[in-house]
Amino acid sequence: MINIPGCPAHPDWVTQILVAISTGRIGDVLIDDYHRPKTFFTEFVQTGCTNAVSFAQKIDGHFGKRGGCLFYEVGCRGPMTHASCNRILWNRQSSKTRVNHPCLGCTEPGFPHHDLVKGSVFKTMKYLGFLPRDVPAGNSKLGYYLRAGFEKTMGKVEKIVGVNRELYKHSK
Amino acid sequence: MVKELNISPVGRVEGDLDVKVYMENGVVTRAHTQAAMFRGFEKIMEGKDPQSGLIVTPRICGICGGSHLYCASSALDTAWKTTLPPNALLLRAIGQATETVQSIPRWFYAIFATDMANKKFANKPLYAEVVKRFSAYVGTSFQKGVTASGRPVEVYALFGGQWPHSSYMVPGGVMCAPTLKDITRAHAIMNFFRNEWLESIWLGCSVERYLQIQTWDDLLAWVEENESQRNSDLGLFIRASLEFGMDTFGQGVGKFLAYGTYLHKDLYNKPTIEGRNKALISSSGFFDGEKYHEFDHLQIMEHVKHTWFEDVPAAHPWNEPLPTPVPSQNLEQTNFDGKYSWSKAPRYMGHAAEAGPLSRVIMNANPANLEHQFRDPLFGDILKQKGPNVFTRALARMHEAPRLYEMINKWLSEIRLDDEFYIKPKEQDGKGFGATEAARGALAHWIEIENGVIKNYQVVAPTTLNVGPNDDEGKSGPIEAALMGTEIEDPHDPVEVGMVARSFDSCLVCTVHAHDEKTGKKITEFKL
Ligand code: SF4
Ligand SMILES: [Fe+2]
Repeated sequence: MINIPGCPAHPDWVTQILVAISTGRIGDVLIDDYHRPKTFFTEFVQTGCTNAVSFAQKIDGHFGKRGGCLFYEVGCRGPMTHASCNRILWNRQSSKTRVNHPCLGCTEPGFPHHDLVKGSVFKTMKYLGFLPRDVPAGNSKLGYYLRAGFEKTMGKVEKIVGVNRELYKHSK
Repeated sequence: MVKELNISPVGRVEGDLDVKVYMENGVVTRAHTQAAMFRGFEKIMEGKDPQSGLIVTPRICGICGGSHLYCASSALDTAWKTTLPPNALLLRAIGQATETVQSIPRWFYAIFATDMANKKFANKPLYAEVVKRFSAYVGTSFQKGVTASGRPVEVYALFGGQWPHSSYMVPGGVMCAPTLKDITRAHAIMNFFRNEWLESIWLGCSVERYLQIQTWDDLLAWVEENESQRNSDLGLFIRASLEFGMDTFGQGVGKFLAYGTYLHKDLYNKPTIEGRNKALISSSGFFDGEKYHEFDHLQIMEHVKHTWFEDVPAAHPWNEPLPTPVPSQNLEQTNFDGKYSWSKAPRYMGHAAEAGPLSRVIMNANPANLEHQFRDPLFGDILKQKGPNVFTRALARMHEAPRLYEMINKWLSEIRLDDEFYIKPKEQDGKGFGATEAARGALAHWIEIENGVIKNYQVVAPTTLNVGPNDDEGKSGPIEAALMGTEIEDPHDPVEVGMVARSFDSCLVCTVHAHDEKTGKKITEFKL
């Protein structure tokens, strides 16, 4: 059984598997624990996101604002959602995170996440008011908080001293 | 002799609508529409984050998601008393319009026109040409039209990230902050759509020329003006419809309801329910067959006597409880004197009213429309000359493409890249109302927020308005009414019933209280 998740699934995810089958490549279609084809669901939505540099530098993005990463304030799930939205674009044009739309994690079990409880929609759920409750996949929470705290501070220092400025400049 | 016909399903793309018609001597004497599955979207949102509708409701429908989003964000705007920058109103209008334009060729070729290739019309002179162009999958225009329909939503994706199922419209504005290259690309894509289908295949003339048409006689003269217009898909559609008699059946209730849409960039920066009508670019209203009435959402009542929900008195959506389902029956076992559909029966001032493009263009012909609103007399005249029927409903749908094409370009050009796209609102408890025109008609959401969570959320979709069952007084819903009196030539292939239902574009996936069928399985099986 092959599961193609997503709400909706990208048409290419469906049709390309059909093409794989019809061209005799079913043997190349590897599947993960949820029976998702690995070719689409191994990397994260973050792979190819145009905000990835801001993620690394801990620069906040927000609605109506150019540049910045949506992880810290508006609940982007790109770092923990397996899908190729930023590599196989939607309608051949774009993706949610490219237009400041936080990833909702619709290819992962549990969508809509946090059961839509108060405070969970387009907001990063936090511990103690500042530590994100969901951390990027592959990180222990403590490890992530320690590094993130350091990098976030470093990011500000770099901003002040003008290091790497090119990376987070944006223009209309 | 009374014959009973069960037809299922009538919808071709998503979801299905079961129709039961009783015929006497080849004429439909009684009709019932059955929406066959409980969906429960409203129930899902009870007790949840107030913004849940932005995520949940677009998923009610795979082809009207942007319209649901337009309503969900507007309902929160009115509840939270947000401020909306002009750019946000423009980008929301562009999203709504591109979704609607997408639906025009897709509906025409994939759902409606294939019926014109039915052998019922085989003895008509234009039949051969209709079959050549409009046959499902193999018609010469079929693939081109369906492919072209994917273009406008590329523009939607530039601002919403993806179509369908974006949530980019949020209370206070939009998520995106487009750049110059997004705007220029959007213009280019729309230009491509015009060259690829709208002017070359559909109109056979320029958008500007088409928009000069003011009356039914103008339209007929336009068809005969030259070979290019006569032989365009629109020219052929008009000539064949008249030859095939598609203007002679499917009249319906003769009452029309539109909530209007496209809030003007400078007239709705402080969103209120009261200020909405005057801020619309495509006007709202209720036309009772004789005169226009100003739209007031408080006139809408939902009836559930014939719906598989626990009985409650007819009520306005704000005052309705979230529905409690009761056991349903399949079509064969249904007793139509009792409960027989998952759709509620909405009524406006007590009347069943038709929603859809025809209702919209009738409102656009209202002489009282303001300067900034569409003022297009064509369908005021067509209604007088031809009345509502299968043909005029389809023509209304198609008529919107050139105007929306023009508006999308205009709105793109009005976006100011240096200005705001979003103003963060203050969350609060309260009631909200948001509405729009989905491609297939009037759509609205009502929300009540209490203690920071959703207390009540009600959605009335255009398909609810059109496919709804009898009301508490036993009056038929619009499609039921439109079917009555229809002459059926061949009871073994009652194509007329399908044509009437499809002239409303009864996309059942759109009905919140109805059935979402997953398979894309194409053709109807007619059971006798
Ligand atoms: S968290 Fe979201 S916005 Fe930020 S880089 Fe990852 S995918 Fe992009
Ligand atoms: Fe729909």
